[in-house]
Amino acid sequence: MDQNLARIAQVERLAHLDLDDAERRLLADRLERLLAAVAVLESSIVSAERTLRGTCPRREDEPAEPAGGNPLAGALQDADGSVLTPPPGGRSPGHD
Amino acid sequence: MTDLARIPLNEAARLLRTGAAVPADLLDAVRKRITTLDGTLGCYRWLAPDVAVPDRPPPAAAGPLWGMPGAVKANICRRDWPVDCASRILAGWHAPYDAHAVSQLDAAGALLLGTSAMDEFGMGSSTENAYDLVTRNPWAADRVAGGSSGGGAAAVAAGLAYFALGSDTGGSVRQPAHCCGVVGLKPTYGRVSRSGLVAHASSLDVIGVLARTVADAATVFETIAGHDPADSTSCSDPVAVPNVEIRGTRIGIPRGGWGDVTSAEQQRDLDGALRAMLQAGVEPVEVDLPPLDLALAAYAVIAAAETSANLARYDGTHFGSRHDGPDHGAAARAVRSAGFGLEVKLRVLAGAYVLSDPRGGDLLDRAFAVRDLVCRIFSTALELSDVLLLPTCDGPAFRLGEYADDPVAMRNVDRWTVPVSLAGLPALTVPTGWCVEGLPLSCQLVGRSLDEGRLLAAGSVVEAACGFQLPAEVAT
Repeated sequence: MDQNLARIAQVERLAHLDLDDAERRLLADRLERLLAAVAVLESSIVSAERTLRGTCPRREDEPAEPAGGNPLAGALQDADGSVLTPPPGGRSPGHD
Repeated sequence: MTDLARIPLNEAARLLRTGAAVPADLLDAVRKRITTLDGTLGCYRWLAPDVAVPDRPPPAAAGPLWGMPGAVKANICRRDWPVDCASRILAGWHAPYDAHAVSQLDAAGALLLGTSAMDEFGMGSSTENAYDLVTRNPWAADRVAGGSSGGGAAAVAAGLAYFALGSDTGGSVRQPAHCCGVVGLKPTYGRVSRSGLVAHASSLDVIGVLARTVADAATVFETIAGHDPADSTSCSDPVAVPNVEIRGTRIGIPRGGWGDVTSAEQQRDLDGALRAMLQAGVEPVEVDLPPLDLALAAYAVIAAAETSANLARYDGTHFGSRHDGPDHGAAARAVRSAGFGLEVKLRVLAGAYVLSDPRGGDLLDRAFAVRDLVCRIFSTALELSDVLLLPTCDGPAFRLGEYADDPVAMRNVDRWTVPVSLAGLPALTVPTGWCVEGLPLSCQLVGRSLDEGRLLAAGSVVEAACGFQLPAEVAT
């Protein structure tokens, strides 16, 4: 629990939040469970990549993914194959 | 006699066209149900005091949305309306302009009644995470309406609106549609402009439609879709939904069937939907699906990172009531700590952790790699088939408060919808039947990018074969 609280303290300032003790303990516990659930990204991504790339090999005419991957790959391709880019940060909560 | 407020939108439109009803009749019928039921259901956050009702017959060029009462989720801007995203931090804020989708509805002559209930900033799967309002399932008062667009789904199901606009980041239109027994359409990412949609996770957010029938969903979708210069990710492709011949369509089903679906009744309904499609002349094809646990994990990381960045703007300068403090940082922390609810704080903290990962963004990189793989697997599946048949959820709507203390279980509710969101594909939830507990079940159809026409055609086949009907009375 101490480690979780330390983690919360680490990011609390970055998130511009001031939590009270009860809230900090509750959120530390929930954040820990959430991060445990996403640990699968570290434990099985390599084998999954190997298996899945075998199932869905990259096409010859397809460029390699930029380092770090592209969060928009595939999801935001226009009909002509060009990748669409979301606009930069916005001016109001209704405009991102 | 059938309650006018419970008939499908296109049927009501026919009554207006033939002169059998006028818009005031529809509005009166819906308002009567709002007065009677909304205190229990909690579908609306705010109702417009004045709705301009046309007192003339529909003009010759009027489409089916003319004179049709509908609801808009409380994170979609309507000029001068309180669009608070169910968050205390935006309490009292009024939208300065109309969202593109709202402008399109206005141009079509729709009557917008008010803002529908939601989880704070769209973060949740139950519509329990607002600071002041919980929405109940119309068919069982102890169950959730799903979320985060639960208010709109419950309103459409119970006859408190003919249609509703929702937003879908990881399943927030499809999952409440499943819980309430209505049709939910998540269009292809970019089909509908996000201008005026309050940002949650920008690479995933899509404005979607909740309606009583597939045809009704298609009507609203055709109205709101299209290019908008204010959103550079919006598509310019034609939006008309063509009549697609379903015979010969290849329907993709997961290799090995529905064994992963935890509810036997949900499995039975998926079998029924498949049988209906086979009878209509579709061809079954087995396909591989992305690993759901990996996709959920990637979503959690990417969505949290984007949430953390998007919600940085709520610091008391432009949004949120000002708090005193020795400096801007202290004042911002005070505003945000008082204004955000627990679930939002959790996601903002998770995003801050991911973005400040001491290993140099390793977690985020892995999440991006998984997203790429998910897109590839769906791409292969949709080369082998034209439409995928999947569950929307593992089982019926859960109990209010059931997952309130378990963020991982709450996220697992969306395990069938999240992978589709990561790939930006269009998906349609169609009600299929009822479980023994008296709650609706559904299937989720997934189409190729921009192929909403075939998706809706497939949905119509399932709808016709299942003969799904909503109950006459709401559970109160």
